[in-house]
Amino acid sequence: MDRRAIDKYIRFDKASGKFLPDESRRYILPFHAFFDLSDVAGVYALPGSATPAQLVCWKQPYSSINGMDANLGTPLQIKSLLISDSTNYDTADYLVELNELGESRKFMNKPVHVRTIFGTAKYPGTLCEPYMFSSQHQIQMQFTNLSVTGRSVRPYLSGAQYYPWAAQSAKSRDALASVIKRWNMRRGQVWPFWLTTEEPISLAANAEANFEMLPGQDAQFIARFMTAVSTGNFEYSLLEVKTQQSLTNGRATFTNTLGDARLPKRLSKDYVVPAGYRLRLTVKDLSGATNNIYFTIAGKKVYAPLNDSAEAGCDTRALDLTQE
Amino acid sequence: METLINAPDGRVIGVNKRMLDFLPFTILTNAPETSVTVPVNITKGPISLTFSGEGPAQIVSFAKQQTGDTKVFLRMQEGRIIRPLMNGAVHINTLFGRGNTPYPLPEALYVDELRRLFVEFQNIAGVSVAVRMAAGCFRATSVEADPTLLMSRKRQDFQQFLSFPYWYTPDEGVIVLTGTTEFEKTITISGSHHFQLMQLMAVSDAAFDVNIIDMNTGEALIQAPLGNTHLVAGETLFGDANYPYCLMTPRLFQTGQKILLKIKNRVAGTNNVYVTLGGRAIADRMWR
Repeated sequence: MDRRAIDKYIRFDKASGKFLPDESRRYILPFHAFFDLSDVAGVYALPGSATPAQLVCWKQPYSSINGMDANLGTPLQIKSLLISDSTNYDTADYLVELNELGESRKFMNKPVHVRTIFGTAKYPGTLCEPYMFSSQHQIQMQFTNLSVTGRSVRPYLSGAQYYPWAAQSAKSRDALASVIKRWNMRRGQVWPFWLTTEEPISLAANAEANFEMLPGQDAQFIARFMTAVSTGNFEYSLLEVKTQQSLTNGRATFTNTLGDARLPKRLSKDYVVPAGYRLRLTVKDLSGATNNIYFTIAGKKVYAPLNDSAEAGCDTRALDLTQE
Repeated sequence: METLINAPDGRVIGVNKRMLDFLPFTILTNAPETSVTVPVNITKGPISLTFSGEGPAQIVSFAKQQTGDTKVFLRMQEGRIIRPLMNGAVHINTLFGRGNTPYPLPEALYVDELRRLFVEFQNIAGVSVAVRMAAGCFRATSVEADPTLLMSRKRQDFQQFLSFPYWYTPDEGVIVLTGTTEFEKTITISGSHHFQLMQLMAVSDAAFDVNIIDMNTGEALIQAPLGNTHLVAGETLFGDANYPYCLMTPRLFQTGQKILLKIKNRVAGTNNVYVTLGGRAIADRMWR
């Protein structure tokens, strides 16, 4: 960015000697995406009693009125997940699973609790890595209600929609296309991922048990947030099995270290879990009653080797696309 | 240090392997005192939070789970030297946040196998209380394996001699307001360091009005050039540990200086006000 620019939206124009809005940025607009209305009538109805609800899809259309989209369509950059529940957020009690269909991408190893990834307008469920939802792609979603009674929900993908074909000048179209192409390169290697336990956690009163969390052999997992939802307080510790590195020197509790998707616990540093490594979660009930615990680590999967900046010959900070 | 190594065209060349030397960590009070029971009218501690020899860490946040209120006193042990990190015990709700909104330290606190944090809890609830403290930090492991990390550690070491997080509470501790009389309370900066004020936290039974005055210059923190003497609503100036009020620019108070708190009840009746000023102590001499 030019040093004389006010920000990425208002830049100094050398030709006119004035500060002018960057035209290309005017075609990146805030956007809420609701799933395809042909699937259900505007509201997503969840049957009760742990019955998986109907599968629904977000479908990203290919819109380009004048054809000047450089074959990029109208991608949506998803930055957060929002939900409205027919009762209220705090009682929303269902599992959710998200998949990108065309590329067979899983965004989670197992279904996760909705309140560990979806938030509200005040406190959105922020993705650790913005996801470029390209035109003609589909994201499939399935909810499974955990409560006996049915309910209705409205989930949204929130972010920025790119309109590369709408810019008036060729310069702006090229600038926008350049940003999208770089994001498209990145999305092939990095995407948001939520890691939860392989088996659901249901503890008897005061019971203790171990649960495995497997990020997979295919990519490095970078953890950034920890969230949990439970029916009672619990204590826990987290251990990386191969190196025997523990993330605590004892048992932390839900109350003193965790939150839900609205205010998650942010790790003080990105935690890199190399491909093939596994985490072991030890939990113990503190409530004195049966305790169902949904523990989720939010992060991103990265399909790139472990490397260092000197070997790669790159200045990591200067090239970070997410900072643009 | 960035986690990903990016190329100009958007590709990700790699995950920075030096990040493997860092570990987000939560340090708790040493077992078996992970949960500290503080009986009525008893001060429990000091209890240490000890790191093993795997490498240094930077503590960046405090959180807690509690069944009732306590006052907290923090100390730092460095070899044989034990030095306080506050001038008096402060209310726990002005220093320890919740798990999802932990209190951000004004400056990271460097600890390692030779430097450890001690905490002391003083019961003010009138009933027995259990507290579980959790300090959020990140550790740098395998320091010797990487010369650049070793340099980083040295730098952290030296910085610690010059500057460390510190908290001040009024010299007499809790402020008890009665009626709607205006009280004047002082906070005296230690003779061994300057204090850079960065955060304001308070917990009280009821609303209060307040003004903070630099006693050297007579200037108030609010509208100083205008010689303002009006008290402002306490809730507009003080947050709590979950959401401390962060000053837009830090204010430096020199060694030995006094800060005056003009404070008044907004409602009739008794009002206990626990004020905590967060910032950093800047040593006026080297520790060794």
